[in-house]
Amino acid sequence: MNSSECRWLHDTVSALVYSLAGAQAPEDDPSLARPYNDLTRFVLEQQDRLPDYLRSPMRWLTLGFDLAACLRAGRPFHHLAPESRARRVAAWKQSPLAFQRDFIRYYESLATLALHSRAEPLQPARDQPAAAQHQAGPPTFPGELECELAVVGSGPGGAITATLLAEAGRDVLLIEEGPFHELESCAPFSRQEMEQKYRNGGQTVALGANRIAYVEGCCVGGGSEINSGLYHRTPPEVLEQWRSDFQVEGLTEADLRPHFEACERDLTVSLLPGPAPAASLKLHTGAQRLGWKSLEVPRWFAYAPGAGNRGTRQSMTKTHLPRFLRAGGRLMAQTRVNRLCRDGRGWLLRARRMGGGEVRIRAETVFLCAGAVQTPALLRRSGLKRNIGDSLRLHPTVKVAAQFAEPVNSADMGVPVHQVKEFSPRLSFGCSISHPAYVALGLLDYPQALREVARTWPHIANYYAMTAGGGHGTVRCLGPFRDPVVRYHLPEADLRSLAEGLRKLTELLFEAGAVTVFPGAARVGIVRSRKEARRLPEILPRGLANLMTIHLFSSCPMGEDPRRCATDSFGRVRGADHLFVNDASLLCTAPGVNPQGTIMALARRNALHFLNRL
Amino acid sequence: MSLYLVTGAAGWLGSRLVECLARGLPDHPALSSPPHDLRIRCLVLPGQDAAPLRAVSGRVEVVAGDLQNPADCARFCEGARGAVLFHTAGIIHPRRVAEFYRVNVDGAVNLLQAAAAARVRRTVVMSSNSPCGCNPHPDHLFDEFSPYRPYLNYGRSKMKMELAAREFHQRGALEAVIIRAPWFYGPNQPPRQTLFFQMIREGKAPIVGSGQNRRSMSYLDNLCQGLMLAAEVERAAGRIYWIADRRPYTMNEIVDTVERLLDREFGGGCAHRRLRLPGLASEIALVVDRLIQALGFYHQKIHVLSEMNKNIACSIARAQRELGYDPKVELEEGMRRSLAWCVAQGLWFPPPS
Repeated sequence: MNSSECRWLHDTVSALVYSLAGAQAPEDDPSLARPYNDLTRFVLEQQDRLPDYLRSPMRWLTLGFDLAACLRAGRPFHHLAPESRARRVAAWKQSPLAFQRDFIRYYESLATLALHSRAEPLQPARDQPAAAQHQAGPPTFPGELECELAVVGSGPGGAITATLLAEAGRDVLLIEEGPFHELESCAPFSRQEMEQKYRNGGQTVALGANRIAYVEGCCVGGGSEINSGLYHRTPPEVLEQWRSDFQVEGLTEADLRPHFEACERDLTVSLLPGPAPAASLKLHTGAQRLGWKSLEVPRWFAYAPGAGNRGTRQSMTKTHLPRFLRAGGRLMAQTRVNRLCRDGRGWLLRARRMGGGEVRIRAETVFLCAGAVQTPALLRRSGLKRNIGDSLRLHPTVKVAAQFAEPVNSADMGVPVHQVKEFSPRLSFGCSISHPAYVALGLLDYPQALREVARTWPHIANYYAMTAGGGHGTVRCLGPFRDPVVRYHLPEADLRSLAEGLRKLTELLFEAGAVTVFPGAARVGIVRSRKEARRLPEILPRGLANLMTIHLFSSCPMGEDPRRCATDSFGRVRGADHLFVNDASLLCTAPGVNPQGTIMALARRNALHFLNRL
Repeated sequence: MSLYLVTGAAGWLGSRLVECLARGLPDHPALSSPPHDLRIRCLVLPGQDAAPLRAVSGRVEVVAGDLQNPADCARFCEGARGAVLFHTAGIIHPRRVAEFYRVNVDGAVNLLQAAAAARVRRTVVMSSNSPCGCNPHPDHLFDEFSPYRPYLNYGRSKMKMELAAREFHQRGALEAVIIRAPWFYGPNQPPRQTLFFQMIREGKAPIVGSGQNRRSMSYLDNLCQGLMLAAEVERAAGRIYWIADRRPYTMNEIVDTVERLLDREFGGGCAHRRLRLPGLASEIALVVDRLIQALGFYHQKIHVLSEMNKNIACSIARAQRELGYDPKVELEEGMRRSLAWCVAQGLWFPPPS
């Protein structure tokens, strides 16, 4: 069933959206005024994109919410007058029951995002000759096909793997679940991008006592199409730990250096040619005043001379994928591999084309590069479970919104580039994307500030404190459901680290001139001075912090230790011939820095190792 | 040459539209003076009195014909290459349900086919709120995102007409703009609307439920402005616009306003009472309405009663933004003009003794 087809669901969601958005919209701002039918449509479409094991429960809960109003107010929620509806929403929002709070939060987040991204320019859908090429349909790809090497997933790991293999003259088929969109098909970090390029519309979550929202790319080019492009080499001490704890061979700094250098060259990793955005500089200034180490992180961007900071992200569709196609590789987008079966000496991939039929692909060797969640899910669905999907790691992140006396944010702010590494690898601070919609999301726990955000956002930017963390999670496939269930256990130590990060980051922001800081955790309260910052809690209240992450890894760790490693030191899956993993899943632990640099270097190392070219 | 084709030209809306086209609409700067080479071709049913139309301007020509007859449509559109077609003909209170579909759907398709064949440039199709039904909750406003949810057979027939027009547009046969307007009012009103005024004066105006339900209304000249802008604005092609007065009114406000005007400006004599009915009355009427419509029949009063407690409110924001629509007349002034027309026509009835 499609959400918009059920009238009852539509009416309840519409009433919820009118209540939630109306509460945030000042009377005098026509751009935020009713009608909110555009928001309702977005919310219903997002609901259709929810992971399948959450979709039905969310719909039934919505209908239950509508009916529950009959008990209190004598009528279903959507028949109530706006004032009575506001009371019902408030009751659930402040309920002691987590599911009731989460229910309102879910709708409130979507309504807020949609309301405050109304002004975003929409890129019209274009006829793209390149897209046609990438999305070659059934005429080019029959229901059965063969290749020497199949690479599943076209993100940084998969694109580099496929490119190197194709350039070595091998017959490579690159299979991608998501659609092909040009990098310019939408504005970076826009709602349109979320709808086009994120898995499940960006509504993926690691379940647990403290849920952690995460996002993944689901498009040709994967995460490289949607991230900020911040580049780090793997810290040497992290490599050292992986060598000693996981017995990874060939992983010294010297071993990786040529791979780092090649990736930096291929993707023109560079510093901004012009001054960094004001919000980014605020972080840097605050750190310098406190004597903390802060640096501008280079990015994979290409800058035209004289164009200032307005560069082009060197995503995979801009770099490796064109190389791959030139080398004769075949790209099959919108095709989801469901299962691997042994087929003689090689593998049979059972896949399904979006909106089409089943495809059976025979390959001598398979490289899985579908990311830290989808790679272990596919392996587990295929019956390969040893050390797979048992040790997912991530960088739990807490955000704050900081308001300054002077403007720090603008529609063309660009990507913030500074990071504070004084407490690295345990804690890192940075500045986040601060589009009006994201600023509004950061203020969800502060209704008064949220009502003013359309006016105040140029003075507000989002910042984050991220911890490398000691928690771990699992990736599991549940019965009939397509989307894997991700769980993550956040140890108390991490809640302490995050609280410490929140405190230190808040202090830093006051040092940089912030006048108000809004921590991203319910019931913590607004901080108005550095002194108040010191009174922030020692430990984040479990279940009340709004945690998120964009870095996931370690679900199939590499190394020679058979007790904990899923693959050997170069990604070959233990107990399975001709099967490799070559993506973020291989990282043994959380690296404490943005991981794409590590993922690319490892992918290159492992692909060349496979080709015996190391 | 600027040629306009108007169907339903002898009707309440059509006749006013012809006047506005011929004389210009002083309300709106972009529409105040008609083009010098203007011609208006009107379609009226055989037997309808076309004299008032011809009296409007020498530039008006009249074709007698029935939309249900494709040959009549072809004759009406003959030589109309590059013209704009306003399709305002339709049936709202028929005797039998089947008439909805014969006139509103089949007739419209006949007309669109003839217009496409004659290479008419654009058609502005007059639809209604009924394809979208009633607001799902009290503070809701319809706009271009609202899904189809047709209200009984009239709503279904108008929805099918819209879908047909959109289909012509999508395959490039004929540019189509769809105008949705709610309850409209203004001079030259049909007897049912005059009866409404009379009920208010006699204290029999039905208020179902609290009377706080909101209704968008569209004063005739505001609607004509919307139709004329939809014909001219380039980017309107293929889009849907809601046209109404600036804001919705509550049912109480509508009745109170008419009563106040009657009292102060039209001789008084109001009973100052309402016929108050519980909300259930409309719901029962809806069930009965459904039942008799399922049998193929139609009863106007039952149908109107079923809508009395419903919210039917829309947003005109898109029309304001994209068409430059700027409604000039609001409820009080609009009702004043309607009442004045009644007096001028001698329809006015003496105050009860």
